[in-house]
Amino acid sequence: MSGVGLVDVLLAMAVPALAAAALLYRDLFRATVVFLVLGLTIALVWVRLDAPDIALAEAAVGAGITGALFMRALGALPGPPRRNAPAHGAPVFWLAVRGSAGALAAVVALLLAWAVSTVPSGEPVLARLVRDAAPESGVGNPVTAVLLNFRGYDTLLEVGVLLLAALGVSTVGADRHAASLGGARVRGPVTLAFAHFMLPGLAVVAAYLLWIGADQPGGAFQGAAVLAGAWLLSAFAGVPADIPPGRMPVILAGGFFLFLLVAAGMVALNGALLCFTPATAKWWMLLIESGLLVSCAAILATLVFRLTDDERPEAGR
Amino acid sequence: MTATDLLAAALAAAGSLFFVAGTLGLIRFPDVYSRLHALTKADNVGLGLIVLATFLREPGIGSGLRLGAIWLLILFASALAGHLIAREALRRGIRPWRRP
Repeated sequence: MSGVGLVDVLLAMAVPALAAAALLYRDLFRATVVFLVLGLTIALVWVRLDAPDIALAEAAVGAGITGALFMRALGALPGPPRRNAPAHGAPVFWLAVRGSAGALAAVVALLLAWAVSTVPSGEPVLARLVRDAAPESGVGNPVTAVLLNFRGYDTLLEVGVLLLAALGVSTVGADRHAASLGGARVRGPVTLAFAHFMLPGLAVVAAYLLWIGADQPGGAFQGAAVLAGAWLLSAFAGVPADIPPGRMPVILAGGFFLFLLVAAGMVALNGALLCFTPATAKWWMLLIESGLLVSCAAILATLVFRLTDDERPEAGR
Repeated sequence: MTATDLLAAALAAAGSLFFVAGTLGLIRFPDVYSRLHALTKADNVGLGLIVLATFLREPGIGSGLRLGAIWLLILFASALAGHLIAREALRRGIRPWRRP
């Protein structure tokens, strides 16, 4: 990356301004829209920092899926949806809450500033280690090599955490997604035609992101975000999902258990957990990622569906 | 700087101009329908020009197909978004603006 340009200065000014706007707007709808814009701007920052993989993840998950989650939650809020209700409880209590939150944020900001200022110049040691070991990983994209080969154990546990989150949400949330998804407002012939046109394309894009992730920015998680988006689109448009009730847990957990199975299989084949040989590493990683693609998409979609059943917000509360 | 670079820069600049015009319409136009009209139309042309400029910088069948797909997908998505916003506005009883 050569020097700091005008774009970088504009981005550096836009990010704090957008973050402040997202926090300070009294109108929750506006705050959500600004949050979406903030996510896309941060994705641009990652691009400028030469981290296209994180940029893709930020745009797809940070802005896309999280934005959808916020929008749906906003739709499920009781009362006049565009008004920020006055806070209940004593003002002193809220002052204390806000004061501690602000103090915590300030401490984190100071720690971050200290961490950034003490980063040694030159190429990081880890980057050199990854680059030197890259030929053994079986893939050309160093990010994928780290995620699924060098630090595959971390990713396995992270997927486990995602799965637990989805299971937790499924237990708490009501069991009426897809069919009852409050799409009445967006449903119609145009949305349906759009969904019919887009769904196959989105599936291809998700698979493409997975495949290209071996050598270029992309991968299972970015693909999963696209697939989850397709899932949401089909639900909003009223395309029936046709998933038998008992099948959903299998789809949710399949990726994790396939990962676990491969990890254990490597103990038998190569003597250690998740220890690949360079010749076959790529195919094992693709197998793991294919499972993760479907499962993570289902997990993300579940989070949006189950957290916000806005059909009957008053029921069971 | 070759002729291709110059052409790409000119196309990108023209595309940006359409984005500026669309944003100006978003800020200045009187009601939701005319704002949508400004945004969806101007931005699609602007994006098309920028996609063309990018293609000149990155020629080839593969990148051409991908860039074309990106343009087409955004065309359809923004058309749907415009339609949905306008329909919801109509449902809420927002009347189109008329010259007073």
